[in-house]
Amino acid sequence: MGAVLGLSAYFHDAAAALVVDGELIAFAQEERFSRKKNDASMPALAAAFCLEQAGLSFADLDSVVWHEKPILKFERVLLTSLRTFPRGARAFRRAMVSMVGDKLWVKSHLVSRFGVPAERVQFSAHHASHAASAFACSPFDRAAVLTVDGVGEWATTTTWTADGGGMTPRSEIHFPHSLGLLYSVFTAFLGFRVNSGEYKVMGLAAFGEPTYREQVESVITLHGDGSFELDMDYFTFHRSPDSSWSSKFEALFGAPRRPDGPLEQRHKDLAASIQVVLEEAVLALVRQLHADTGEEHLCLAGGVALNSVAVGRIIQEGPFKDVFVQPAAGDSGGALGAALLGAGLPRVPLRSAAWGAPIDADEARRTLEERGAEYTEPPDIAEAVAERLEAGDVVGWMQGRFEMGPRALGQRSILADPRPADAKDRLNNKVKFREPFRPFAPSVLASFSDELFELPEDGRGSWTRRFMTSVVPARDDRVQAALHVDNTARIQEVHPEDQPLYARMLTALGERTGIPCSVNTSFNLAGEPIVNTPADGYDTLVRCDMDALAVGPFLVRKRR
Amino acid sequence: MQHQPPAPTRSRWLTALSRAGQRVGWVMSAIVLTVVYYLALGPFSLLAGRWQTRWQDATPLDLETQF
Repeated sequence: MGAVLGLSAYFHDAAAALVVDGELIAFAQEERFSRKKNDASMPALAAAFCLEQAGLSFADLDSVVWHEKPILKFERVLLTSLRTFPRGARAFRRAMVSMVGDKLWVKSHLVSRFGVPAERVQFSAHHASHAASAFACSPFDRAAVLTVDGVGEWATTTTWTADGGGMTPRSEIHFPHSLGLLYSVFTAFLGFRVNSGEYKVMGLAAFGEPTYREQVESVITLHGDGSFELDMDYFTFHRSPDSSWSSKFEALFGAPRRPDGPLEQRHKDLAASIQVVLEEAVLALVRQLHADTGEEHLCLAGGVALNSVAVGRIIQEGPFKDVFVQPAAGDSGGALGAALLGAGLPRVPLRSAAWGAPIDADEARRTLEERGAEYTEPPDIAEAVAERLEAGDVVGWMQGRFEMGPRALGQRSILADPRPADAKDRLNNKVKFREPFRPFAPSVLASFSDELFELPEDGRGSWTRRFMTSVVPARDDRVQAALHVDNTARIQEVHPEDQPLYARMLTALGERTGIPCSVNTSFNLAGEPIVNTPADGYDTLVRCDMDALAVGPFLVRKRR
Repeated sequence: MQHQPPAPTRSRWLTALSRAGQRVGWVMSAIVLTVVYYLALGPFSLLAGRWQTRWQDATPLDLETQF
């Protein structure tokens, strides 16, 4: 099997993953090292980190697998330019400069930049990379696999079956008919940034009513076989580099919201409408896939799989016995799938998402000394943090290796007691500096989650709850700061055997408050990547109204 | 003594020249690509086919090719 490095880049969320002798060694997004949010550049820093974890160099690699096929993608760009002639001139110019000037020459970039021999560079299709990351990381022996995102080469949606013998592709839906792009059009229309603002639309949806559902259904047709089709008269994303909807779209939905404009009820209703149509479309795909394959388990990846509300409905209403969503389901996860495919698809069932760079206690001490921080080394950092949380502090938590994917999962998190009603506003206004409508998520001891949340009795969805990729309703409002306006939460169930320190902290918090549950939000400020090093964490502590930082064994209290 | 602004250095001139070159390059590439689009690609647009709808055959799993 040897050593295989998977890489994804050149669109958004560049990443690298390393598999050695069938074992996953490391996986990290470039943004954590470069400190540029959604960094799409060649992931040199992430790759160097992965190789360092294994004590390897590029010369030791048996292959480097790129997460998509550049020439197939170029074909799509070229044919799209022809099919939209004569209106696609600007998109054609932009695409040619980008692709011919750069993105088409991946192999020579890898050869010249890293010294990788050309014969060791391989390419897996974009959705094959997603599918491999979903199945190989799942706990299932066999499964149906569904990938849904904006677009890869041609495919926007693919279906697979997978078992110990490998993965078999079944069918796919092609560009421009794309659920991911449809959702992104509404994201931009509502004034949010595409490729990162989709979470905001999902969060905003709970504040609205799907009063525009019929209108949304007039721009997308859901066929009886699970496939879907966009009415391209409403869209321009296929022929314009700057806009994604047409005047006909505006005639249907009204004026778009400016990024700095007020959020009106109409915007919330639009968000609710596109959200419910997306859910219906994904449910139709899932039902068809189940009918076609007869498989009991479903693996999901692709950016749309990060829509935790839709995943919650798949678990609750879908036909599959259980569901797994790869926690880095977006494009960064392509690096993971590419590495796994290059390694022959070894099974690496994920019990934890902590595959990034670790916290080194010596480095943490050195950083704190250099910055003149006042810190202590309590006998038990878990107990000390629980004490601070009970006292009402907002605490930054940096322990172990950072997590894969966009969610903080108790490795680089900002924590707070979820009981006080004002905790949410305080986090939003003074720590995260983000929109007040966005919800926070709870981390809860797995053995206690049923007390707080309404979970399926047969245990369905437990793998998604481990990685915070599905939404469940709350039983009451005891953890109100971690609940959304519709009384649901995207929970993380914490298992002591997989995250012993984090579980111990929650247990200690539970002994103090009666509820082993904490608000858990990603350790970053608005517009920044999640922190990586102790220096990142300390500098973030200084720049916001957080009260304390637990980095490795050290506790830093902010001077007031 | 009256403060004198520093004289432009060679590197500043080179930077300005480089920027101007980039700008010219950008305009030239825009012109060339527009001509290519309308004159060279345009006639083939009728042969480009239509968007594929509904389910399509899957792309075979392979790692060796870029297409």
